[in-house]
Amino acid sequence: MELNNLEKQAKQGKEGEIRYLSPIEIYEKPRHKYCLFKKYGLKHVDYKNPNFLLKFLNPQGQILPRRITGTSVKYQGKVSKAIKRARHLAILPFITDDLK
Amino acid sequence: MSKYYETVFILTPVLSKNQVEETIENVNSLLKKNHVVIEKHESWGLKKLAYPIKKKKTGYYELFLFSLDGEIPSKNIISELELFFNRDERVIRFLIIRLNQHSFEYYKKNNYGIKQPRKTS
Repeated sequence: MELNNLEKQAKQGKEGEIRYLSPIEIYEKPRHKYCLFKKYGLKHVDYKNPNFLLKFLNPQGQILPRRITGTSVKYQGKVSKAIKRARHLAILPFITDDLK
Repeated sequence: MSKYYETVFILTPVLSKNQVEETIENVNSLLKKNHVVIEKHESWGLKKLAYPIKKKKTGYYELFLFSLDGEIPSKNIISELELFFNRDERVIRFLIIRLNQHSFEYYKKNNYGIKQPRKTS
């Protein structure tokens, strides 16, 4: 019986007691990705700066792909090289649990 | 045109202050012997390693930035430096890289040290 009542209410366009039965549409603006190096005109990736390289790593210490960080091909290569150099010098770990 | 090189090496934490200075002096004299211009020497002091190397958890970091004239054959000098690092038991890790023009300019701008890259719009 209650269901019938609800249907009637819906047809009439009135608001019932139960709201949001259908999923609410929330409009999310897609974030624009950009290459950090191209935007700020950085031409050198420093392997001695772990805080900067942290942006290109996930919490386990793996290198994030280009499709997530938005880095251009040219600088992704340099970033990965810098990270590997930093790992060699024990500035960054190879694997961890809680980076960041 | 001169070539720019950078080397970072890690010394074992068990050394005394004199021994650290001695090793640095050895590197210094080796470079000077080969007519290398030392642009910058930087000691980062005792730092914690991200993972243990040879069962050591800390190490002394030392950085050298040097340049060579284009006419001097760089291969011999670099291989000699590599041999020195490999033979010396006090050095637990090292890295020698050639810098390109952009990298050197960046270092000059940021006073060579470890700093956050400046944001320039």
